[in-house]
Amino acid sequence: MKKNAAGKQKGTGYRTQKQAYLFLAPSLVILTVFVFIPLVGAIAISLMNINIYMNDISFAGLKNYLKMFTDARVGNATFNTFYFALLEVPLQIGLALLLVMFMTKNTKVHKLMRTTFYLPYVCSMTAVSIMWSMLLNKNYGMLSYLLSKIGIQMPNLLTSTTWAMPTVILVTVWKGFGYTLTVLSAAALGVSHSLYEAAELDGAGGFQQFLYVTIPGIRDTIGFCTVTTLIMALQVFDQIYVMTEGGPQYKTETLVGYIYNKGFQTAPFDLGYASSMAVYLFLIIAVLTFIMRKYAFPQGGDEE
Amino acid sequence: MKKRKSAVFDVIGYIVSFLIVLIVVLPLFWLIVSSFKSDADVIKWPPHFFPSEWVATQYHYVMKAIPVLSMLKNTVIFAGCVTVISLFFDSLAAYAFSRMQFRGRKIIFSIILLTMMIPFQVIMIPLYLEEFNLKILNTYLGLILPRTASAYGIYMLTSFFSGVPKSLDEAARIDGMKEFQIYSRIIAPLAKPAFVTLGIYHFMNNWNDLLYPMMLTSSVDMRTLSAGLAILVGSNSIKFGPTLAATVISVAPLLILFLFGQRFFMEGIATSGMKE
Amino acid sequence: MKKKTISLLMAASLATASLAGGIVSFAEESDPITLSVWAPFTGSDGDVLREIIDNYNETNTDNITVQIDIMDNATLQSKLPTAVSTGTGPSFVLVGIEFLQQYAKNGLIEDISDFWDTTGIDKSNFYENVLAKSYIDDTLYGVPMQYNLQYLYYNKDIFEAAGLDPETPPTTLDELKEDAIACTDASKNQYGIGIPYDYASYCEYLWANGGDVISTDGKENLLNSQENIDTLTWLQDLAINEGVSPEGLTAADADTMFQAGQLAMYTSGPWNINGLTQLGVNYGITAIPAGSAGAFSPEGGCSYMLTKGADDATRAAVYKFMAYWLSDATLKEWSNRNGFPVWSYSVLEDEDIKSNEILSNVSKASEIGRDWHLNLTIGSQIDSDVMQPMMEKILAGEDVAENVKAASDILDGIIAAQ
Repeated sequence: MKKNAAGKQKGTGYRTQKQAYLFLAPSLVILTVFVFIPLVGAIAISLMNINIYMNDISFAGLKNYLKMFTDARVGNATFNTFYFALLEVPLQIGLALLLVMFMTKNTKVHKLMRTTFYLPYVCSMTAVSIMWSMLLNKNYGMLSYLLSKIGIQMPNLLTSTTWAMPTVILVTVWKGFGYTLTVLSAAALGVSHSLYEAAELDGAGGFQQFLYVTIPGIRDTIGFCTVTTLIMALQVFDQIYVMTEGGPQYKTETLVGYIYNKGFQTAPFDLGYASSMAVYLFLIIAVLTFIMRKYAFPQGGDEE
Repeated sequence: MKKRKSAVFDVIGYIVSFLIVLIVVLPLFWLIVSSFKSDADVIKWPPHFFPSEWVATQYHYVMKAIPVLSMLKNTVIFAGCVTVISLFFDSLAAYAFSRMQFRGRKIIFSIILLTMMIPFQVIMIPLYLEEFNLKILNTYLGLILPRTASAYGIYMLTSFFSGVPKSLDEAARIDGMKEFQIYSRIIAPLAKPAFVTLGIYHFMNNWNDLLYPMMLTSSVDMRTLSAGLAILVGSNSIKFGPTLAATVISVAPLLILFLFGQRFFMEGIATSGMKE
Repeated sequence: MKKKTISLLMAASLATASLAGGIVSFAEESDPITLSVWAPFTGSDGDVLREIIDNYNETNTDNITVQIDIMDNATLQSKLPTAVSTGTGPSFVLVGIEFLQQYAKNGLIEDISDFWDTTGIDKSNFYENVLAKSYIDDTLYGVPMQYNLQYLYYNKDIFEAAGLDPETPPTTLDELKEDAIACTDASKNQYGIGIPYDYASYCEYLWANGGDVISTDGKENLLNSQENIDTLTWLQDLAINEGVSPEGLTAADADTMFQAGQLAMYTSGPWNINGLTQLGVNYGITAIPAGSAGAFSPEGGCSYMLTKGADDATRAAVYKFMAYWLSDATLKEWSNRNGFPVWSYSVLEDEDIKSNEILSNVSKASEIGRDWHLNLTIGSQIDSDVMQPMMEKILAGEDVAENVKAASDILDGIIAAQ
């Protein structure tokens, strides 16, 4: 690809360039106006002493950023954010891959199953969170009743310092794996059949075929799913807001949750401090994404 | 030997898949049947899976409490317009990234990716002020416009387009086709499954979004369904019955749409085998 | 995707968008006027409110239409300042009185001191302690919509089954403990009293034995006292060792479990009365039991407040609606149907109100109200950053003295920073 690109540039270079920018223009204009300008606003806010009422604004320099180092809840929220992301992303991608492995054939049953797995994704995160909070509640939930019938005492998952985060993670996986599965299946079904046949002739079983044919065939798509799921996971908010509100004892408080809490939920509604934490989160995500795309999945979608 | 091995593999596959089907379906089924329980039935101990008496009172309550139909209309306009326009803009950009050479390609792509990494909570106040200055606050335009370009969509379509064999459009280019013609007549039709997948993604995300439409609308007339139904989920005295019904109402149109469209959707995926 | 279809759709969407443009604007002239009000009345307590407003819209002769927009409290708080500063906010708001000071200080709401004179309503007809919450010094910033305390709810059926008299609920903390133990039967998933770990009204227990969190002027930290440590140790013992409260209970769970008849007692505000009555639960309401220093209950309430920048027409119309709310008929309907305590002397005389058993119990139980720190500017911060985390840990069985000390240190920091 690199070669023919270079060859072409000589001939129609200038015109294609101009056209390319035309193709990009709508998206770039929208993203600039509605994401980057507000972002610049947020960065400016992070350098000021400012609360949500926007009275008595003054320049703070790096004060808000320095404050993060002395705030134990920032460290705690960073830890929880990583805890969530580092468990949720592999589980979601792993479960989707496992099912892709079992469903390489695209028979009617497989299609039906894929549709079924997609159903939770159709529901809103709020709806899913409310539903699971009710089902998992120890005191009146269906699950604890059924378990108690067979003699198992279930802990109150969402209010337990040990179990709250794993529970939130599993609910997130429950909602999201179907979508990942759909995207991965689309790619897996595109892997050439001749490759599978050749592997079968070599005596490879289902698992080996998956490992040596499917996985390399959908590498790029796995990369895409991992990067995007990771970006979403690091910004987790909705399900935690509904299910645990960051509790118990801040054990499920993530960075976005803490940002929201500081900026909008608790006096003195410190918008400046909340924004500085947001910039910090933004840098974390950007660096991680960069590393993932550079080292873990070097041939991502936009390869040169 | 070989056959037995693959049979065992298939059986394990079916057992695992079936278990997961159960884990997916049972809670959703519980949700739907429970929305037909009476108030006392919902919280009864010991709990019953099915209603002891099927009643529609929860639905009556929700319909009375919120203007469901006008909210539904808003949601369809909002999610529908965003989906259509965003697919168009995203695919144009993706075409440029996967097919055209221009200076700053890598950097522009990275910058676009960056927009995915900003939590909405952070930019919502600046965005509100900006929309106010543009005089599009509390309008459909103000709801739709910021969502008409999406980094996720551009990223996804770029990787799909990159998988379409280059030989096709190079031949077209030699025949003297213009770039936009190659985009609209060759690449876009071939990437139909990707369009469908992404379209559903956009539609659902915007349909289900809560904070964004809540922030950018300042009257009930403009509120979307998910945001409107959220008012039933109070912090004081949560009423589980209406909450369940509201949840079903917000999900049902999507489920119906999805089940009707799934044949096309899943077939679309099946024909996506163009990657080499 | 056909090019034509897309451009058509875009054109269509732009057209609809421009049609929908002018919703924010309010009528400038006197005649038909539409008022918008934001209120965090999610959940069932908003039902009656919506009905009363609908009724007002149909019956008022001033051509006023009130549009209520109910939203989650956090959303309301995050939107309001920006909306008011850009002139895109509501005509008035209905929020907890704990926000009044901040709103006034930050210029979000108007001075409405001329309300009584303009409307001719006799302010001496209302409880002074309720009105006082809407004043800052001598300036009126809000018109009370309701006020409320915490009460002890008890399930009469469970009391009877446990061999207790359903008409004599506990009046002291010692009796409370006895009754709670008597009513607990874990095998039936039935508990004596709900002590939620995210409990917001720890105050009533601390006060009962002479403790407190912070002085009323918000300057002196009173948390780390022997009284508080003793009270909290007692509470921890009750919840954990006696096992009378379900494990890992949240306040929302407590509501549900009491409704389902799994809790014999719990404390909560009046907003549950409506739901409990509808469910047909055989319950009673009584005052918070007394400790060694007496019985007290934290007072709260909601007020209507006029947002900054209201023009004369809007102000006049909002006053009219506020006056409508203060009329005997409206206040009576609100209390009668929702169980909120009466705070108007003329309504108190009403026969229907007098004969409403729950309401007279509520009114009796409302005599022990006391201001608490939520009304301070740093109140919500104390609640969420100091008290709730501390209560969580103590009710999870961690050392009481240690956690009170730690919480007190955080409180020192908050007081110093204000």
